[in-house]
Amino acid sequence: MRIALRLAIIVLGTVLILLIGSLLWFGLNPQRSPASFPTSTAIAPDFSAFGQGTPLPGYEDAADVLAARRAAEGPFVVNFFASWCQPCRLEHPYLLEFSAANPGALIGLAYRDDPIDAATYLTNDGNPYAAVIADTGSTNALNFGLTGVPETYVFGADGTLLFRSPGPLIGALKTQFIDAWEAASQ
Amino acid sequence: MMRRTLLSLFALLFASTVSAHAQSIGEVRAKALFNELRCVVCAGQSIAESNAELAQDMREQVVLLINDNRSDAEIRDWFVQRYGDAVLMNPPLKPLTFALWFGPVLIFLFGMAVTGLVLLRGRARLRNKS
Amino acid sequence: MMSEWAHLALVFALPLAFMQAVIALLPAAPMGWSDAFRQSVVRAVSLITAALVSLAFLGLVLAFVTGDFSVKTTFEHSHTAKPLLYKISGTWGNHEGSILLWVLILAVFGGLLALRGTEGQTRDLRVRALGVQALITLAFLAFTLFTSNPFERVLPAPLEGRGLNPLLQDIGLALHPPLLYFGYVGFSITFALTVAALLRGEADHIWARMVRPWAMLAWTTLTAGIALGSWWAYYELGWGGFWAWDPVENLSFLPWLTGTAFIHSLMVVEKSGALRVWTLFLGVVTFVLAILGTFVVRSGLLTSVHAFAVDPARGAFILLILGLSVIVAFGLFAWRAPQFKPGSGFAPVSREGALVLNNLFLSTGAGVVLLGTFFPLITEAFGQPLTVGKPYFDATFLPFMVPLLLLMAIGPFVPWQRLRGSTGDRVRGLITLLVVAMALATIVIVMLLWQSKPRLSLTVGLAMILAGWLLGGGLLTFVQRARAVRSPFKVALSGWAVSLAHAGLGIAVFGLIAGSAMVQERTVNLKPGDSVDVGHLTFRLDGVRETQADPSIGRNYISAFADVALLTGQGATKAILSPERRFYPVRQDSTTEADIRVTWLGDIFLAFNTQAPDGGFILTLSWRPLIPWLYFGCILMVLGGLLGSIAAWRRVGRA
Repeated sequence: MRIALRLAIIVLGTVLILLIGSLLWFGLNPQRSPASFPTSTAIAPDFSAFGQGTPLPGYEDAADVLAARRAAEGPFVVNFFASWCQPCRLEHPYLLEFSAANPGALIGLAYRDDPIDAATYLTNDGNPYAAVIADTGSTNALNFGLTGVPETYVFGADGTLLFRSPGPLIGALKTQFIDAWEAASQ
Repeated sequence: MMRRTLLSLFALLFASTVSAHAQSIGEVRAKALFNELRCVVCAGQSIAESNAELAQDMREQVVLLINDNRSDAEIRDWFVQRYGDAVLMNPPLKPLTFALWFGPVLIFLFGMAVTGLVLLRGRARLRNKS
Repeated sequence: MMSEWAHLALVFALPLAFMQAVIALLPAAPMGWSDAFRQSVVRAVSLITAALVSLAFLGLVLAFVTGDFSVKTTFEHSHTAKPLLYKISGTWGNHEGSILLWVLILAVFGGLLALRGTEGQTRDLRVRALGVQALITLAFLAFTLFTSNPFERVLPAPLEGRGLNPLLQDIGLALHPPLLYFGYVGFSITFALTVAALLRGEADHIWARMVRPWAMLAWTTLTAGIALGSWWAYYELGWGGFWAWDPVENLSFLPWLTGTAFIHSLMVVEKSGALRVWTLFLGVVTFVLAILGTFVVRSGLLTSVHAFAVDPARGAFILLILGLSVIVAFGLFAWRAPQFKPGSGFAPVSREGALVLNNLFLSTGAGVVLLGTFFPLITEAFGQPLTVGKPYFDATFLPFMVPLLLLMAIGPFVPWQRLRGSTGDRVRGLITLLVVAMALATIVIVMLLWQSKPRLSLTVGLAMILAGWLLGGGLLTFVQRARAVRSPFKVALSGWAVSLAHAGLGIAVFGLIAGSAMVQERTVNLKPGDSVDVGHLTFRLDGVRETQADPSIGRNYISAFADVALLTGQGATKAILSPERRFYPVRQDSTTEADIRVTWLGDIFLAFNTQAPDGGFILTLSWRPLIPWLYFGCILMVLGGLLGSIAAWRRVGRA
């Protein structure tokens, strides 16, 4: 009886220790970023409310994001940026490159940005966007479940969310973005 | 100079309550909901506790939805649809969270059983001695 | 140069700790030494290790004070323009230094254990405990030297440090970590004594008496550390929250819960020898939870507002220490526990029985907090991220605390099994207590009513009675002890300890209830001249003034103060409060500094949020009743804990 009890304790204890140990080990994975909010692609932005915002001065012609979304026959990309956001500048060259290769596919929304500041930024650094507005009141940001700028969303032709990048398109996120875009384009 | 951070619909909406003597029902509801939604940029705080811009946006959205006559449950759903379950400070009850919600009761029942055993054996030892 | 010596001292402590562990834990004394000689050697080595680590720590403190920026830790976390106090506290205000502080406390506690007497009966126990303590010291010394060496160099030596962050210059921030560490590490001694008892195969009342002062001291400092952290969050962070159920807070609360259970079950072991297996289990678990807390904080495992530098290698190292201690201690426990003889019997209604229930609720509480804290990590491992926040913990943890608090007030009146009195006394005692509880709750509620228009509900009323019950229990405990010796001045220290700790918790619970359920708060848009009512208080915004940044005195921000007048019923100004909003131009970031007026019935709490587009100013104005009671209660608990430690210390070694 006593030996059986002891054995039971030891077996149970070993299993528990292994389980908890592997959980903590999983927690140490450097790929994890516990500080950031877990983003999900299982969300559905409400496209009927898409595109409320303020046109950027000088970019009024390109202010109809909803039209741009309809004009894109294949998949399309929505990118949130801001002129005050430093990481956005890291991905900006790639965005220019991407829109040159895929004209009409990239829609931009300036998050919490003054329309004049955003317009200046695009004039100085180049405008990658087929259509762009300032997201006044952050209506679109909340609609898209934004967790920070920059954040990039890849949508299929039917408007389903295929991929999102909760950070600048550099390094691993850029590779994933390219894969997602190629898969969506086929 | 950019004018971000300044627009606070929340305060504008309640500007009319200045010098009024009671809090509006909307104000109380908003406050309760702020405590239930997680700020998505600030490591586990609710939007009530954060001054981050997205938290301000979320607070404004809550107020907008309240003024749109949505119920508390609808407002929670609105955020879950766009941010996933993790946006709720209080995880919803579903198979994934059964262990979380029923765990405390199970822990307590297990503890009760052990306690009962300890008390019974303590009494048995007392009787054996006398 | 000095830093080199300090570094060297730390390096030499490593083999010494190893030596100490080997000599102490060998089954037989080596080289034909007598047991007495072996003990002398172990004690001497233990003292030398403590001295070496103290030297190393002193060296680091001096490097911070004198501004030796060739030391990397100093370079990154100090600055010549810092006030002396913050240069010193800066020593442990960073990862490397704080880990060195851990090791320092470990080694010094080991030395203290070695210093205390050499009673024949406990010699064997003490030597083994010193061996276990040496193993823990060894592990953390290795962690320090191999993954977080505070004495790393920067060459050539920079002229100025980089650590002038005014946000981190705060007295609460300076004292909070060392107190927590004293608590955590204090439980290392109880762990060492527990493992020693397991090795020895015996845990009698002498063992319990040896453990108690350490357990009490660790509990006291942990209580002080947690309370100070909460105080800091409330008064400095400016959100009016004193407990957010943040993972890092939870992880310091876990060893507190099991430690509280531990100090209570130790009493049973001391009095009647019952519950010894369970007590040994608690002794192991409490320290394991303390290491777990350190592990999670140092590895950034869970989402927390308390940001720390994250390094997976460090996390892996502490995980290794954690794993080894768990496997060794619980392995030993599983092996030895069934051999322990059960103690004497007791009836369910006896002090022993009451303490069993105390342990039930505290352990359940710890289990719930553990589950809630780690659950998001579990679901994340299965690809389903979740958040478990304050509402969950409030809903699941608090229900188990209600019966605990109910029992807590009666507990000290229930006689030990061998002293049991008549039932009549007990019933009369209960009725007295209930009357006192109602009276106290009524007094508090009437005080609040007389002073303001609090938000009252049935739940709040009942909770207040519960707090009154607790406070009354503490007071009556003292009365009972005083009557037993016929004078309040002759009450033993332990009587003071239990009365103060229990009454203190009662007062703190009053603060907790009022501070969470009766807060009156409004966020309003005011223009200068506007006035607004919050509860019984009337405020008027007089104006907003700005001060510019002044980098020469370390003020790298622009301040806007909102001057808010607190008005009397007649409209005269009673006081001016000036909540502040700081804007940091470099970081394009702003913070709010609340202005809090502390009164004995509650805090007036004002925060300046932002400016509205219509030119008004958005302020949060609140009345937080009884919050100061929360911290006053904590002070009483800490005092009680200190007296209890002294009382327990005096009993050590008595047969």
